[in-house]
Amino acid sequence: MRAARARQAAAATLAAVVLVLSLTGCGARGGGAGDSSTPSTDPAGDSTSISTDDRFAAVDDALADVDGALGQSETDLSAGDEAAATTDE
Amino acid sequence: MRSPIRSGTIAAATITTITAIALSCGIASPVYAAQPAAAVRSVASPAGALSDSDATPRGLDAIQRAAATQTTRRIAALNRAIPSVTRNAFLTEADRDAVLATLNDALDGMRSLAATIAADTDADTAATHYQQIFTDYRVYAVALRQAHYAAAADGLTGTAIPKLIEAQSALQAAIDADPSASTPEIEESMQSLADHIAEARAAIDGVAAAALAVTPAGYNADKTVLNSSKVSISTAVSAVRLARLDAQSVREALR
Repeated sequence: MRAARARQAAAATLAAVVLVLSLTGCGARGGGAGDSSTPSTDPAGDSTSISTDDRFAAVDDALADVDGALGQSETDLSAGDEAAATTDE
Repeated sequence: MRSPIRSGTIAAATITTITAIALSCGIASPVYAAQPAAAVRSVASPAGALSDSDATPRGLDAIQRAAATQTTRRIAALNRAIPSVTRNAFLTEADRDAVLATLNDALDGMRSLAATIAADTDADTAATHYQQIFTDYRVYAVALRQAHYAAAADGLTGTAIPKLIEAQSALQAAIDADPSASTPEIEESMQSLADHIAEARAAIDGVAAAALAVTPAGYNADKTVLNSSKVSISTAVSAVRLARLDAQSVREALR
């Protein structure tokens, strides 16, 4: 009777450990949504999506560079105006 | 017993998910990824409208105290600007060299005048040297201002406008590849894109060179000498911003 209880307790503990491992290990090995290093099997990676992305990749890259340069130019323009506002008489 | 395990598991999973989302967001943002390190911050400017009046104080002691304040303030501003200009990825090499030469010359001048005025023994000589802090260098009104304006202009001529033209070509290629996808609205936006690019190019042409050509002597003769550079840069920035919206509009319409 005591041995049976001990076996049940061990089985329950093992089940809990397996559950925890499977839950926490899912992201690391199972291609979970948060794991960017694991290849995704999501349908978003199908050939149609890749084709659409490729079509506009050059546009998106160019516009990202525009954003960077435009932001810096705006900052420099403001800084130049700020310097001008400091009386240098 | 179960509850803490479950809570811990859920908490860990939540943290993992939040971390993954945060990482994913950081990696996925093309705007931030495209920002060069130099773009994170700009040349530090002097703190607001400080009172830098050239009204020469009376008496040797007063002149020497004021000179120490004015030169220290300018040396600090130049020491903040020089590393920023050096790191600025948008300045052309020639313009960066010109800006750094001016800033370093002003830095040497401020240090030299600070030492000279501190060693002066009569008020008249000190007053003459004191005026040179302003009239010979124009650290704020010319040196720092033209450095910023040249950097702003170079960012537009060297990167923003060429990249807009690249986007324009890529969008046109997408339209040509599938003419049936085009609409009157898309054609209108493409024309607007072309117009805004042309406006930006016309406004910014030669602005960096013009700003860098201004000298303290030129400013002393005409205090508005850098104003046209500012107006041109503002016009070009607005045109680039509108062109970028045009390109985004076409890109969304073609999706």
